[in-house]
Amino acid sequence: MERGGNQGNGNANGLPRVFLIYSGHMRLLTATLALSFVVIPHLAAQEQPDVLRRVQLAQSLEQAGEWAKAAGIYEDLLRTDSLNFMTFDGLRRAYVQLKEYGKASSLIERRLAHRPSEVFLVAQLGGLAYDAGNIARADSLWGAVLQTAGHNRQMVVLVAQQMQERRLYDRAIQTFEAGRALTKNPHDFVEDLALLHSATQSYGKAAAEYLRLLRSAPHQLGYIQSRIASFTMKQEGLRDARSVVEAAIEDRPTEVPLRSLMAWLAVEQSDYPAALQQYRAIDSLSNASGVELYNFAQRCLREHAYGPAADAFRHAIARGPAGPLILQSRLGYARAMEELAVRDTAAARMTSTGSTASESFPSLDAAVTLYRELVRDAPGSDVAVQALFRVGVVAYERTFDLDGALDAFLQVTRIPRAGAMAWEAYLRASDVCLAKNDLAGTAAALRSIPATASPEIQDRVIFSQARLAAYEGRVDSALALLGPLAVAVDRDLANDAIGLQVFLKEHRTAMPALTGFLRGELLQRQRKYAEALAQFRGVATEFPTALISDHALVQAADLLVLLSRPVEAVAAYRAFVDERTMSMLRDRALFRAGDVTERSLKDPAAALKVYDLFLETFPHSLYVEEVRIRIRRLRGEVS
Amino acid sequence: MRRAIVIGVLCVAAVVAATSQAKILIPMDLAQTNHLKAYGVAFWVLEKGGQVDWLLNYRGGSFLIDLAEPVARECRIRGVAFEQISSGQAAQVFADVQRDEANTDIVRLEKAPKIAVYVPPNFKPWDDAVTLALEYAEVPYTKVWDEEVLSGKLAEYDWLHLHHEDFTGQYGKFYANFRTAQWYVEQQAMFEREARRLGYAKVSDEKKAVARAIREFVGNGGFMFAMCSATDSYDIALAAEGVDIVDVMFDGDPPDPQAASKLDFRKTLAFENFALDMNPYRYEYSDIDLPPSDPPPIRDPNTDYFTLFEFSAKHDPVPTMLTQNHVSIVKGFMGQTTAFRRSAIKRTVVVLAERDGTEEVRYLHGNFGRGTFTWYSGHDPEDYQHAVGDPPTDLSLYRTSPGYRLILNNILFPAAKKKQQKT
Repeated sequence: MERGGNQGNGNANGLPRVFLIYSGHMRLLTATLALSFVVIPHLAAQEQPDVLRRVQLAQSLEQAGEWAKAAGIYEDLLRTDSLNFMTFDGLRRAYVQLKEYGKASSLIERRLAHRPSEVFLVAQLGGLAYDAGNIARADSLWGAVLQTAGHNRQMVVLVAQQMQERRLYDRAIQTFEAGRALTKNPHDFVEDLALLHSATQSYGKAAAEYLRLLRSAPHQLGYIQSRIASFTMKQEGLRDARSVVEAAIEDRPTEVPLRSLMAWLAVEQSDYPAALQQYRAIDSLSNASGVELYNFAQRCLREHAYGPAADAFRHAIARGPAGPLILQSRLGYARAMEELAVRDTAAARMTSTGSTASESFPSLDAAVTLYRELVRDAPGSDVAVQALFRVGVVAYERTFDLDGALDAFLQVTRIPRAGAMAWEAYLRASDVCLAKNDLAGTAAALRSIPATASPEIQDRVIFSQARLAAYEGRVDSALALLGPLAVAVDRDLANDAIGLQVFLKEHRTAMPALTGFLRGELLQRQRKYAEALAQFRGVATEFPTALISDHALVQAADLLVLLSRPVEAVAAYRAFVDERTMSMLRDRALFRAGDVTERSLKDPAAALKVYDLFLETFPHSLYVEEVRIRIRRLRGEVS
Repeated sequence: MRRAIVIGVLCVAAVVAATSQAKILIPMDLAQTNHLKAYGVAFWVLEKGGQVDWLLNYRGGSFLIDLAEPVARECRIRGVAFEQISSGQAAQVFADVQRDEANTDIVRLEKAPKIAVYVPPNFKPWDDAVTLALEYAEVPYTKVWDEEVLSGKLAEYDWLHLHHEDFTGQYGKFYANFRTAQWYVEQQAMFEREARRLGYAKVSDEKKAVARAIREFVGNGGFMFAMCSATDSYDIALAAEGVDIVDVMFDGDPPDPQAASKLDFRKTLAFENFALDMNPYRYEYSDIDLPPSDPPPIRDPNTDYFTLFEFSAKHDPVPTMLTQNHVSIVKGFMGQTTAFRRSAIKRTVVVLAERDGTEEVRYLHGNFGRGTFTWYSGHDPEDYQHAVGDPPTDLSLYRTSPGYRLILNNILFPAAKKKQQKT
């Protein structure tokens, strides 16, 4: 009578039926134990209740690690029913745990004599031979299984698992590859092989397996990326994967998923030009009319990769995307060009001497031209609003063309579709008016913002009004406006409000000096640096005992830097430190002296001396951490 | 009698010489702003050929160094608080420290020890408190791994550190939770390849050989410092020499069913009479660890503290050095090995810190041959429950960490000049 897991031979595929419950060694063990609780009780309840109890006892002993006792019970049971699979498998497990490999092998061989069709047992026999140190016999047995049933996918997996359990990864790889050759299906064992290759750090081979999977299931691109990501965090993994995908693209240049994978790998390596190359091909192959390129360009813009962003937008425009996308692409291109121009200008400033803030920047002009063309081609549109706003920002912040900036911001406010951008434009216009010394215009621009504007805009309006009141000498009004903002600690502007509030309260006792200082600050805001310098120096001379005179002197030294007179600036800072022995700004002044010596005068040895003096003089200053970092950088200890 | 007089005169001469110039005092009590970098400054002075006097139990274990502008400058750059004292004040400090009735003493540090850290060459998804401390304190060290250990390279170093290692060959017993994680799979494959390359059939065999080589290093006069699971797994590996204690998923065959009875505790350094936990699905090696790591213990960090023992500075300078701190009660922290069960510790081992009123020992020290070993339980003194994948602790936020100080005491201790015994 047959019981347990042995269900005899034959099924639709001509395979032993028992193989169908096999997708791995562990699964069989689980299934065996599960079956023992379902099948055995049913059968045994009919005939042999004692057998049931003894099987359960043996299983309990297994769980308790009492393998020898369990083996004894299974041996007894097997004597009465030599073909019972549950008993057989229990005894095999116990022998293996007891390292009785010889007994386990004999047990399997006896069963195979009765059940030659149970080829999976031959694979197990191979494993036992290996455990017993007989590697040649193991090879022979595994080879025999593959020879007789190698066309069966499940059998290949079974043999490979025997090898994997014995840490024979290279052998398992060979088995899967041989199995693939026998099944003649190039997509068989793809994930098994990929995992084994990545475990053995053969990342290129792992990537090649995933490419097979991609080819058979292109919709699984996301899953494949997630699998490949497990090793592309390592440089060598990323490098190997890229090289494999590159080679595949050379062979099959029209496969979009392949190129998508390549683009993803390139972006992982921040190789945007290579990614752009792929997106150009993808856009063309999938007839996306620039959509793919546009999306990639936006991503580059977000990641501050302005060069690739400009290139991608340009290519997107050339592909002629339909509808609003062409305008958005042009806007993105102009934005990228603006950022590139700003970056180039900053780099030029770092290497030049004596340049001033009012220089003209030809490449910024090009960006402005692009913005203006958009305003012309799509008047009144959302894109026109954004383009005009950028024109204003460039004019105010980059070229200090105040009239041009004001004109652009006010144009934005007149476009019906501007929405919240109009409020932002009014705020910017108020700043421009301040820079033009048009205080009435500043107030008017702020008044134009309706009470329905967002709370964040409202806060900025109030803060700007307070600052304006201060510049006009209405300190009480300024403080009244700042009060509610300063206590709303959950607002972004609370810190700025507190700073201005404290400053005004601290110095209002010397009102003429405060007014003079604020006048200097307004001049500085208007970039009238020479006049501002004179104003601050005047405050310091006229009110030498007022606390604010310290601020005026430091501010004057800062202005000397802006006026490209760094040597005088350093002297001014050092004089301040030496002369104003009670000032709270001494640490800031000495830090600035070191900073200007290092960055403007480019004298690292002198800067080191200043920084050393700083640490000695102001060990508890807020600047000490920064100074320590700078010393280490100058000493070449950190980059 | 004449000999005693000569020795006395020489001692006085040494003290006079030591105190004849102005000094830099690096206080290590609550006045210090960065205790961890202070150790780095002391090490830096030793590296430059200078000497450092370690004032045991004086203001938290302060350092006294000859006044020199480069030292002062280095202290300032590293943010280490120091006091400049005159030769007269220095002499007073020496006198205070050497008073018979005070539990204080002076240990002269003369040579920067050569430090090796045992660390695998690949990425580990957890962090090592000692390398964090060494990096932060700017103390240079060299990484070594199995090949260096097995080829006898340890002889080139004075001090060896081990952290979250597994010398049993069970890959940290992460099998239950991480067996499919890429780092785990790669680590196992890499370890197996390395073991085979070095001539071992199994990783467990190779790791046991490494453990024995380290024991030889200690026996020959080396200083070993270990934390977390490198402590108990190390002794388990020594006790299990020639016994298969690991399951099939770790080495491809089942463990020896009689493994428990075959352990040889004469081979271990610190522990004995422990029981193994051979269940591969449990994150625990043995019953040395308290509380057991599996299931993860629930404990309130706010009430978890351990106490450092106070030793006689003049008679027990080594344990005193190892326990120098500005506090005597230290914040607890967990690890795969959170604490050592007292009843599993050999009687020859000195307990340096314990969790009051419990069986839990946190810090211990012992001698083996001509060397010593110091073991510290837990993973990261400033991350109560550091988990796999957690970001490393930023020590700039814990500059005065008492828990990390205990680690750094260990790196200076091998620099101490051996004193003549009083008897």
